[in-house]
Amino acid sequence: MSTPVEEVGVILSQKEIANGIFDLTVQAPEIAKRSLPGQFVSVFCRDLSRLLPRPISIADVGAEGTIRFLYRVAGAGTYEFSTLIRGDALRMTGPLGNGFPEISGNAVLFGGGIGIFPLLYLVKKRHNPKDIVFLGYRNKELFAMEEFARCAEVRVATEDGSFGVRGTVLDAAGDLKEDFSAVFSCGPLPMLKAVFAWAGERGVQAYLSLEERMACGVGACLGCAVSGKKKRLRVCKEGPVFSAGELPW
Amino acid sequence: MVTDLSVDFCGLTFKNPITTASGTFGSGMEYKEFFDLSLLGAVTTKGVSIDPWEGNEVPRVAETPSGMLNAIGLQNPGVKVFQERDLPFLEGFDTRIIVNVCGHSIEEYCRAAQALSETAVDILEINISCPNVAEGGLSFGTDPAQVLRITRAVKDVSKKPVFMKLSPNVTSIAEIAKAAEAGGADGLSLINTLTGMKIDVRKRSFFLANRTGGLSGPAIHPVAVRMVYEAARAVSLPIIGMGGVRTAEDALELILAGASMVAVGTANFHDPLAAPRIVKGLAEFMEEEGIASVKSLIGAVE
Repeated sequence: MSTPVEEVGVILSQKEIANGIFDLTVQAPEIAKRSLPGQFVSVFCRDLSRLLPRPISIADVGAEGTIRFLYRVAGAGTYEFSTLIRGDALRMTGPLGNGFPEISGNAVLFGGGIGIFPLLYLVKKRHNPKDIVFLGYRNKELFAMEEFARCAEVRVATEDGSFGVRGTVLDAAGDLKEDFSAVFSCGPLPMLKAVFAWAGERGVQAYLSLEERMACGVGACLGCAVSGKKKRLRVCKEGPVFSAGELPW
Repeated sequence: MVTDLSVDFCGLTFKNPITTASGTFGSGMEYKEFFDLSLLGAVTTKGVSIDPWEGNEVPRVAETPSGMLNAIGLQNPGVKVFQERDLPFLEGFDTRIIVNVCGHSIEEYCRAAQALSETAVDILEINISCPNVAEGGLSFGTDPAQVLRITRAVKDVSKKPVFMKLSPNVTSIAEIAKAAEAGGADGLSLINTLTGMKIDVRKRSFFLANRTGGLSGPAIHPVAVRMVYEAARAVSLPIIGMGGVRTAEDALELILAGASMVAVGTANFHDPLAAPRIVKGLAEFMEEEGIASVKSLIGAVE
């Protein structure tokens, strides 16, 4: 893993792609060239009353030194980001965390809600049409689905049943018959635990991206240290991606 | 003009008066990726106890206006791992090493201080002010008689200068400072965090798993300035001042109030390069103001 850097990026574009979900592209070549799927970036607010960085996953990296963030406005900090326009500066440190491992063979991916975003860069980089991606949405606001579909086979579950299977991504997966060598997942904790069990029953290694409240983002403060199987694990440093064997579930 | 940023106390010279606040900087390994730790006057480590501590459950941190709450609970791998892994790392830099020491009982503090006395650390900073652990920590730091007792006990077994790290959660910081001085402390560090609480109104539950946490960041800086000033007037010990320092100006306020050294804490989270930037800002300030030595500013408020 390469060492993280501080960089002041320049916003190239931003648009709202679904209710409260934004698609932001920023020129940040130093961070971009170091970034791997599953890693994240600490993004800082301009308002000095909000001191802590917002950890945002890397949704894609462009060849011209750009990074793409897909994020939901969840509070005052992410609201501030959503008001930025082309030409604005954005201070960041990154890339941070470990990222998803490179695994050959076909994979099954499970993404739920905003947890689908770190999977986008992974699916694009893998670009394996035999990978199967299960995307879970609340309703038929199917953000980023088409982009996934360009690189892999996509199956959708919606909570309200307005598109695809009604229910969760696990309901959509059912008893999957295809052969695959790894499971990658990011999403809400109950979903991750269900994926953990699902992969365990099939004897397939699962790589799960966790979310936790962070402060420093670099591994120093231990603010995000969750209980692991053997020891506490810093989600920002040893994670955010953990293999199932590291987790005490 | 050549400005002199160095400061001296306890027979030690520090190349500049900036260190890191315990718990915000680990042992520096994570920040080494952003800057050369030799730029600092000292590195102050996260609290170390004689045996490993697990710490509290998550969530452990919450942002608050111009600050944050933390309730890590002093998770640390214990003196042995610290000595084998962290100390050799820190000895590779041209900077002083201040190790923060924690314990559940006077006996545990003493065992850790004794073990660390045999190492290359320059100063022991005794944490009697952590608000996030059930035993030890704050319970030792709020009663002058207890402060005197623990200071004397740790001093008896330590071969390194002993700084007592004091809590702001007290009625009279001067009284606590005097108790530490009477116990034989070589210096004081203040302030630790102010105990606070945040409630999630939608869930109607506590934001932190520990319910309460320690408030840090610029929000507490004026409290730190006031308390460093009061402690400096009450005792004749060197003081490491801390609390919400984000800029060189913030550091200068604490120095003028009476601190010989200033620790940068929560600002490291806001900017991993905060500490070396403050060192640079201090040098620039002195040059602009035509001040030859930072020593002339210590306690110089009128």
